[in-house]
Amino acid sequence: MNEKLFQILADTLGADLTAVSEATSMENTPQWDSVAHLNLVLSLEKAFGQRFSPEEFMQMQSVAAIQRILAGHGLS
Amino acid sequence: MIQVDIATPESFEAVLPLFDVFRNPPIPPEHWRRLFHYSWPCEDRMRGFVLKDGGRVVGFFGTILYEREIDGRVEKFANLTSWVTLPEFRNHSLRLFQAVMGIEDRTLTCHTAIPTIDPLYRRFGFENLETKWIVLLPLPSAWRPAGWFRGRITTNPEVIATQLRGVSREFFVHLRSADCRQMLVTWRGARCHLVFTHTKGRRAHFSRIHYVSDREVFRACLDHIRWRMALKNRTVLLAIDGRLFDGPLPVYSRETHLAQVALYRSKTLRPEQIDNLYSEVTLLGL
Repeated sequence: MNEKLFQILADTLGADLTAVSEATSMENTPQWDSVAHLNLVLSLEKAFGQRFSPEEFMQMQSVAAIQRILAGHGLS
Repeated sequence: MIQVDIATPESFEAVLPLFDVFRNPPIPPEHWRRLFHYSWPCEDRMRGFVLKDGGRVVGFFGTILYEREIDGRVEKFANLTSWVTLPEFRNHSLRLFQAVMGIEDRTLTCHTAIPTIDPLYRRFGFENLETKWIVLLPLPSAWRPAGWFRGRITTNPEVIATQLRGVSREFFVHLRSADCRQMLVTWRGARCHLVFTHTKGRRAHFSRIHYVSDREVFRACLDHIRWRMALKNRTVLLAIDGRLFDGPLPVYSRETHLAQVALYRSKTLRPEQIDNLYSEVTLLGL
């Protein structure tokens, strides 16, 4: 799952795959703005066949948080 | 440390430099000031939220607050405006959006949700508010030329001020200094108060109506109203929000679906109960 998640993050943020890690977050990634965040969540929903709630949408501001939420949807 | 604070009227000076990004069309500082210093009473001092890096304001999301009596109830509104963040802080701009979405006790409206952001609002419960305009050419109907009009149409504020009563007079007073225009139509003893803006479109200048106090009078006098607006404002077209227009389309008109629709989120109101009067549209003349 991490490989797929990292690839989606890299594609959405226009970053190199090697630049994405467990520590990547909105806080430390300048190009992760609100539009990129929307596109990221839409891509994740499409890739994992899930629909995230507004609360989850707001929480998904780091790789760690996304992993936690995906796990909550039974994806790990 | 980056944090979100409530913006107040006193935040204006610190926020003003951020509006420099809105240059098309350029909006003068005194118009931006209207987002912070209202011409109507408002007990709540919140004017939106600011994003701060230490003491420096690096982002803003405005809320224009007002109340209206609808169906015997006082309804509270917040019109969302001017979401802006300095480029180097854009990865923190979602915090401003989160703060605004936390406003639960008001009907929220947004007239300037660009298509890339539209899905973001919808995810948080927003729905279509204004989706189409009726666009009218300034041509009087052949069977009712403008010269036969038995009523009276004026855009003179001094005359309008003496003739309006009740809630229409309140609207007139509150919006008199805003970037919109007003018209009063008197016809067969009835009055119709209109509020409209003058917009420079890509292809033509047009007048856009935001408020109609009496739809029956408006409809009956439409040919004369559109002719007068065209002459007075030197606009080729007259556009009216489809929600304000009942019945069949008049001659020399057509429906236009908007690429950028207005949105709203409300627990109590329907789209036809919400207008654009106290919004960035009239305050900034968009």
